Amino acid sequence: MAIIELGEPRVITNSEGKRLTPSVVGFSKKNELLVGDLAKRQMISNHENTVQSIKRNMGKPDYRVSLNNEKYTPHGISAKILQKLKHDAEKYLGDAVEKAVITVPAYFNDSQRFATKKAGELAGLEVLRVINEPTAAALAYGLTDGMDNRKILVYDLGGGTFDVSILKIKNGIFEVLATSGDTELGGDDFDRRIVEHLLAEFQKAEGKDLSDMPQSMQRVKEAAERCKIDLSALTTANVNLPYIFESKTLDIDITRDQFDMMTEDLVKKTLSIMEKTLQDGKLSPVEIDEVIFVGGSTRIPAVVKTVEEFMGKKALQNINPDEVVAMGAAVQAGILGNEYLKSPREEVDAGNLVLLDVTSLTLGFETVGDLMAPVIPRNTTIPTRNSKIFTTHYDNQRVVRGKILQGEERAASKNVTLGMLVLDNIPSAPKGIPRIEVTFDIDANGLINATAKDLGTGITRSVTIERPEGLND
Amino acid sequence: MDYYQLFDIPRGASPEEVEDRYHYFAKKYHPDRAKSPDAHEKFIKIKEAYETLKDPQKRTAYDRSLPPEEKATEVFATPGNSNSQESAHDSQGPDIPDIPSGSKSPFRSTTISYVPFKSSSDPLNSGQSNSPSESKTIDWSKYVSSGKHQDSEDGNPSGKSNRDSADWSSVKVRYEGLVEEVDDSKRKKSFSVSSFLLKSFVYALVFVFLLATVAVVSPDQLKAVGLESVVDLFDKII
Repeated sequence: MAIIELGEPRVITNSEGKRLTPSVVGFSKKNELLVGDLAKRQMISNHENTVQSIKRNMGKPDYRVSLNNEKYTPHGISAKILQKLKHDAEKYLGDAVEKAVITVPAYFNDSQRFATKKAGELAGLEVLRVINEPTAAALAYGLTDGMDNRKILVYDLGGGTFDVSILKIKNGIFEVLATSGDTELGGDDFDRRIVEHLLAEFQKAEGKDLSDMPQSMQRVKEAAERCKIDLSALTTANVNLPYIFESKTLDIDITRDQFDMMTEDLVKKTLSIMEKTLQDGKLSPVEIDEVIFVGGSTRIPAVVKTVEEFMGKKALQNINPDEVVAMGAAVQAGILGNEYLKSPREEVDAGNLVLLDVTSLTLGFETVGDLMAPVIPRNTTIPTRNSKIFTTHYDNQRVVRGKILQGEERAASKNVTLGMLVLDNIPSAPKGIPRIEVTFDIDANGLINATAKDLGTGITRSVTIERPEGLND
Repeated sequence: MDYYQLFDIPRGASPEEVEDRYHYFAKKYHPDRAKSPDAHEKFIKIKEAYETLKDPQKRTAYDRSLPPEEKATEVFATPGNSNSQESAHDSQGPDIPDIPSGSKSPFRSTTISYVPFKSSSDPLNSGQSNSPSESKTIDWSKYVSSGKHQDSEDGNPSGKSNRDSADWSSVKVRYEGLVEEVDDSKRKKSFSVSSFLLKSFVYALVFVFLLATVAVVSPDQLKAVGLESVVDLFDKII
């Protein structure tokens, strides 16, 4: 979490004095709510009452977490974390904190954003804006020296998600040109490769599969993460877990080369997403002036090497990649609150900064034959609006019912359903005659509104997107 | 809605000018900046215009769909020429967001009165008039006040001559403006020539004076650099 202090974004410490709060929530054996480091510490001893990486499940309407015999929605868990942050910030500032800007991966869909906003509200915060993490990082870098009239590529490899965004910064305008990502690719996947390796080696040596022993698995997972971090500095790291199974000890060395081999495909996957984003922005690597690294996983030497080779230039990492997103969110909060912001160029103060973000996923409407008709293509600057005309597909059809979809697949069922759009009372007519104009409007928050107009009768109806039940409690 | 009018830029504006205007309006109308409830609507319009004008292909297609640029002047309008006033009024679409008054330079409304429609003078156009980019129908009555002008954009010879003959009054206005400009630039030019002559004369005088001083005070130095004749000359004068 960060604030704007004397015109500059500043990361503030939580009540434990740490600048980073792990997104882990749990209940202690004495039934106390634990958030952050305290919860993380009991992950081995009390793992069934502890949950981590909830971000990956945000927006899933039917997903529930069981903690202490109670069921929690992902945004309910998220709200617990935000509540702690709010409380800690209030303690630090000695003042009430009521409003906040929250960041999400750029590749989050509308449901995931909606759930995030909901989490903020549940925590008692007015969510001023939900902004994309790579864009936030660009805002933080944009206020540093020499960042004008430049095209930058943000490579954001976090714990659970991967995003790439390309922005152009000119005269205080931050214009996102293209963005893409993968919400299922991140540092956790790198850890998992080490876990798999350790399990396989242990089984080879001791003939025991640890994967069905939760407590041991938790230890292996934590050791794998540490091993990954060690390998950013060392060429060989040792994993030593005494008594992992009865009196057996897991003692395995992993070299950086081994690690690079295990994770080569993950790094390649990020490269292909980066290539796709450049194509979307009609740019080649040489046209990019700066590459910015965001997220802890950009400390992995193979990631640094591969990305810098592909882009043909050194990447910037002079703002802590774990903190830069929070700082950018503070900058956006400063813009929205019209705060004074310090910058190397006087004319670029908060009163002169504008962030033009894009919608990262194509928005469309379901039509006959399980097809998606795109209405607003991805990488369109928001706020935006577009319409498409649809018609009936059988005679005297009185109702048109279709899903509002988000995604890049041609087949409707392969995309994410945001809600239903229902139009009734269509005057009886032969098929193909009624003309119904469906308009989608995305506001600066990335939230979607839909209207439908019967062009025959001129009747306009505003349609609220009915979100799945699970997102409402 | 004419995107160029919306952005308040000439049709020949460079991509940089288009971008600058977009940035100007984005700062003005983006909902993060503008708190008025219609900021959202205004920004969407600005963005729509920019998305067309920034893409060279879309812009070319859009330019073809535009009617000839018609601008009239209040200053030079004669009482009999009410047409031009009307058309100036008509070409202001009703749904243009208010353009800041300060950004309009005063000369814009008084100089250009008739600029020939690009595509009608474009030899490539006659063969392409049925291409999809031009299939958009144009409501000419909105832009052209006289009934004579309601030809389509096909650029057929009769329609063109019609247009040419009908606009003599305004063409004249334009030439008047041009003559004035030329006069002005001539004046500037002659002024600069005379000042140049004056300056060189003064410099020559100063140089001769310096030389004379040196020749009188230390003739040896001048002799040393091979300017004995100068020393002799000044000796004689003195």
